[in-house]
Amino acid sequence: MISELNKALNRRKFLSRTGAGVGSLALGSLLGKEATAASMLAPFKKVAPKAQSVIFFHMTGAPSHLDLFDEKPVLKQYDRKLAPKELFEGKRFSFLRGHPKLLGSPYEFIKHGQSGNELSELLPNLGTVADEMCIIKSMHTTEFNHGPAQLVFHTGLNRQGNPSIGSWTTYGLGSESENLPAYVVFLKGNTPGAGANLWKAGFLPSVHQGVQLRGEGEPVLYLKSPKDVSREDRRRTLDSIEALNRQNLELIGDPEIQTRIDQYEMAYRMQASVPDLVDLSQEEPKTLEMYGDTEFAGQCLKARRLVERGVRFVELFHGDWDTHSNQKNRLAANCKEVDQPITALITDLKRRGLLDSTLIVWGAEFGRTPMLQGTEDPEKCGRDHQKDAYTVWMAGGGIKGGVTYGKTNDLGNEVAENPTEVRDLHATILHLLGIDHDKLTYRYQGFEQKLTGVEEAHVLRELLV
Amino acid sequence: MGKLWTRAGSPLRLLSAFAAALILSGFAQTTFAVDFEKDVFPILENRCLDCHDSETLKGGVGLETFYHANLPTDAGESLFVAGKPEESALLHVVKETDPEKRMPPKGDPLSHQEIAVISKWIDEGAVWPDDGWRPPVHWSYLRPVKPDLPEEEKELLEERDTNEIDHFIVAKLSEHGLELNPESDPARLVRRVYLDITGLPPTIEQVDAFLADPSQDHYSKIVDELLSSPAFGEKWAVQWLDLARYADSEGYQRDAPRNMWPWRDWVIDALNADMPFDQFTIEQIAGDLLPNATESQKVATAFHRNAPMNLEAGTDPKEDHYKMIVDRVNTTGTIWLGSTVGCAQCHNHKYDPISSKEYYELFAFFNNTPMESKQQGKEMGMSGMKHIGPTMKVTRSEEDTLYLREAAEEYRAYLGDIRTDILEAVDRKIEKDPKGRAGLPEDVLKIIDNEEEMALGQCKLVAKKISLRDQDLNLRMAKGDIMEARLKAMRDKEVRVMQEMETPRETFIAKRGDFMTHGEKVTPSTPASLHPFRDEYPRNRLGLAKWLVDPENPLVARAFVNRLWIEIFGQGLVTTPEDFGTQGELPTHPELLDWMAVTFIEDDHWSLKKSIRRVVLSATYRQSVTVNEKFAGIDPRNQYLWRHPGHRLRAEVIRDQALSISGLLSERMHGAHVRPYQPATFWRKTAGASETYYIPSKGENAYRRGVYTIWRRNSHYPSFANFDAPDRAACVVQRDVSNTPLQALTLLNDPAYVEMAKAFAKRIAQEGGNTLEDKIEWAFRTALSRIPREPEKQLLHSAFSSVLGDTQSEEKAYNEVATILLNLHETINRS
Repeated sequence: MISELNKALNRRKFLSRTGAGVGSLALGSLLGKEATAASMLAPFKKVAPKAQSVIFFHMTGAPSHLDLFDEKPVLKQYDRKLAPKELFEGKRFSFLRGHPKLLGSPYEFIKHGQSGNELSELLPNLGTVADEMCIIKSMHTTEFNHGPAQLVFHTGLNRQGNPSIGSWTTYGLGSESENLPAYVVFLKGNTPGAGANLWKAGFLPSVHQGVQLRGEGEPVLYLKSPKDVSREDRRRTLDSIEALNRQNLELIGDPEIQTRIDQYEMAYRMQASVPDLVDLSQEEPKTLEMYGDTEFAGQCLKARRLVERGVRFVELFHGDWDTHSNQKNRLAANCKEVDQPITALITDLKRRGLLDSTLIVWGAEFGRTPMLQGTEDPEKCGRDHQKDAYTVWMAGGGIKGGVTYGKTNDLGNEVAENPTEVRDLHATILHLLGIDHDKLTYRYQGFEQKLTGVEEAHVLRELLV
Repeated sequence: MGKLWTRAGSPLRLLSAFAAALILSGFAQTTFAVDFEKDVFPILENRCLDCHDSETLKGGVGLETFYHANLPTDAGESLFVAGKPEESALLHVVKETDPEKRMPPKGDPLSHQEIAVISKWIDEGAVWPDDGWRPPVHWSYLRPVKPDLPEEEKELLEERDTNEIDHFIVAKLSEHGLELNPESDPARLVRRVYLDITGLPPTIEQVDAFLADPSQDHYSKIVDELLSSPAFGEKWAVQWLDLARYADSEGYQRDAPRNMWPWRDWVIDALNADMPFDQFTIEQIAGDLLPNATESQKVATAFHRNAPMNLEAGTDPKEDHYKMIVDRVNTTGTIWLGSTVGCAQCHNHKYDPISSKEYYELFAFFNNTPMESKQQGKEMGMSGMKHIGPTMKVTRSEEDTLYLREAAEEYRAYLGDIRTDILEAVDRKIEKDPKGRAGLPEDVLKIIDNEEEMALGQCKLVAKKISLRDQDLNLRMAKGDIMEARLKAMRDKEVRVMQEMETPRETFIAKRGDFMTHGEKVTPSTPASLHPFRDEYPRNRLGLAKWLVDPENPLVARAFVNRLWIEIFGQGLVTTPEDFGTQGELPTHPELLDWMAVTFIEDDHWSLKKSIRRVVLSATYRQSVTVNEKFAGIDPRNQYLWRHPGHRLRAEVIRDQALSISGLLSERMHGAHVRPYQPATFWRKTAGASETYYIPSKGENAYRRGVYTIWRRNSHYPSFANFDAPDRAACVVQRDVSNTPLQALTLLNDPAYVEMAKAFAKRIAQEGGNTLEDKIEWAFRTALSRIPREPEKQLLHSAFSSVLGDTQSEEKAYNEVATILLNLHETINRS
């Protein structure tokens, strides 16, 4: 009887915000089944999903679109010449002052594959999957400092306290994994400026926050039992805890107690599933070689393993791309670090038949200026932040490959064609997951809040398969 | 909503088309005046009302009623300016040539005829007859009136010890076919009330004292004792710190340390002194403006200096200042008006009667404080920003002096070790160098000759000069920097405060929330839909503070009482505590809410303690947590309180309780933040951030109450975060109550909890009595207050025996019992 009641209560509670505890939501997000059941009823699931999972790359600090994706011959022509006034007058920059000069890209751009998608010579490996890539050259944002712009890119708003796109996704769809959190985050390099706000649940129930798989120490904080406690010891302790909790449940009948019992079991399973996930020795040597032997390569490979295990949203932060100075060396080094593993991930997903159901998103908080910052020394110069135009790209998961969308003007400082808002990108990602962005809402502060906010957002329909 | 003008199809429409045709034919312009009803409204109705009727109000623009049409647009413009078509926003948008920006967004643009009609109508004075429609006054904007006590179920009420609250609760329950649960058993009840008032569990002796005399009289005496215990302020401060977004760091990218703890101590002390909430408000909003303001009153104003600040290099200090003021306005609105005024930052509040203009009039009260940050150095560079806002030195208390001395000693010892290692390295260098001492640079010699006084900076200099490559020592010196800075902060005891500028800053409407786009100029004022701003109030923060706690304010006491209800029952009478506006939920018990709100001001004179007392003495509070399946079917969310909700304890209380049970808890109060154990690598390097190393506190400071734990916004204490403690980047009225596997991992494996279990195990062995039975009962009662039932005893007994059998270690067997008890659902919940 109690368990029947639990089910009824859990289901009802799942569908409404309650102050009495969101234990059932925890079940929903993290145990999968419940949420799947509940989300079937959800009004926002009106679109047939193409993607089951998302792997979201955020290049912290903002790479230069002008040196990687968006070749500007005119800019090269006017290299080291004074910038035209309209580029800076009346505009705000983080650091540029006075009358800056232009900086042409020193890199060659190469057309790849059948599509002829164009990439900088710094990304040779990525060229081999260029026909999978949909390159959006017309992204723009509202903020020109890292913290606020990163928040916009993840939550749609420039303030802290709002759910990230990963949280919205797991809130909408739950998880397919019974043993792992639904939303997993990796960091490589510096933590992004806006910190954990970028993977937090904001006003959504906290179970929807991303769980960071750490590089140093334990992959999940406090995953390991104390040194002198074996797996059998732990099982015994958990059995006693459960037996006593069950006594309490029989007496009190509060379904939260059942949830507590389930969550202790989930914790126990995670103690096995997470180490298994991060154990790359199970991979074939050829695969390991394809990804390469770096921390970021390992994270990319783990991302694939997570997706295979039904995890809904994986996010990888890589930094630091904030090249105000010494751009030449730093950009090359960063590209070298990400080029091979990301290419390997796409190739690997494809050969396993997972690319169609996995959406890859690669982007950052903003782009960089055509104006030179700092000294003119080609080794030492850099570029400032630019919010008005930059590049992101996507692949797999129902997005058209071999496409370039949108254009910037001759100097790459403004969008010239198909301006794309961050909320359009968000709407498109949700759409590919089968979610109508206008209907995925959560009531908070008197409003049906949504990721794409109050202004109109457009699914980028031309880019869908 | 009443439709005001005849809808399409009326005979008038034919006439108006005729009139328009005449107007356009030129000569008619002089003969026919445009008639709003016949000529203009049908155009609006036909082309605009799909999006701009009084319900949709897209973009905050309404064209259906006189009322809405006369509101300024989101951008602060007037839809129409009588006699000036060229200044009328309505005309601009319909004449716009860019189809992306033109209205209406779909279908053909308005015809030349239609535009001409509107233009002429505006030119002729834009007469829009007042249809009399006004938004209905929402319940929460009406001042609460104390209702009579419901007299339903009088017999039931007389059967047990009840108070006024129960009248309302029982009436509502009976309306829904529900009943109060029986009274909780005394042991559970006494544990519950200890945890709710002080955040700490009772000792077995304290439980026994109540069991010996579980009368209402005795219970109320216990309540009074608890309310006067210093632990009360430490427990109740936390809710206020969440509201005030108190933290020990700036937030955003740099997330540098900031020194605000003197204000946190002010809160604890004010709560312990039961400072009336009106005074509590005035001092925090405007203590600096009170006549002859005391030091304490100035410290109180740190409240609004808790707003997060962006010290990322390249930030525009003016923009960040604007954002901080926005945060102050919004936080004030949430706490004292239960309203989401923040929406009006960018547009007219679609649902509640606060316009953009009124938002910036509130903003103007706060827009008179000096700038708070600036770029470091003369030129813009990569060196980041620094804080320049007003601060004040606070007098050190005896406690402060003690803690300072301790910290200084700790640092001296730490520095001493570094010195020794540096000097040893220098000696090695001398030995290797054929020139001996003479091979060392002069400044190094000078420093090492005075080794007793070698400061950290000098140690670093020496290390650099002798090219010392010792990663461990470098790390220790880097940590030494942090310790030194902390020590200085403790010695200075400065806190950020509010301060008025002599020349007020002008305030403008920021169009669409963009601070660079100035709209109309505004002056400090409060929203017209709320209670009046009395003439005797000054038009500054002090006046605003007085207005907030004016007994005429219909929202302040309701919002207060609702938060009190959340703290005790886990859910509010209004389940959207951040929004009492038209989009918020209606109260489950409107009469009770109003009764409590009026009582709070009129009878209790804004006393928090009196309000708490009344709630915890009610039969509603004292009932048991047991789920009645029939009632669960009727009211699954327990909105009507047919049982005590028995909800989970808050992050800090879970830790404090475990520390108390294990005997490790320090009773120290106040002072700089402390740092309990967390993994060394948890504070990752953030680009441009300072303080990347976590240095755990030593000795007693590792076991202080949670309210003193360091709150770093970008990386707050993980074992609190796992139990839903917010990062305090913004005002939080109600924390989540999640139930996740990370919580299980924390309680089982966090070395801090592992240590607590060990300490508890030791206590069980030493203090638990003579026999194993005694010890198990003692352990159970220490954790849960109640006497264990037979099967529970047996389970613990066999858990103990099983481990003992395997390991032959009593220590491990007691540890098993302790671990189990600290992990029970009942232990981390009220029951």
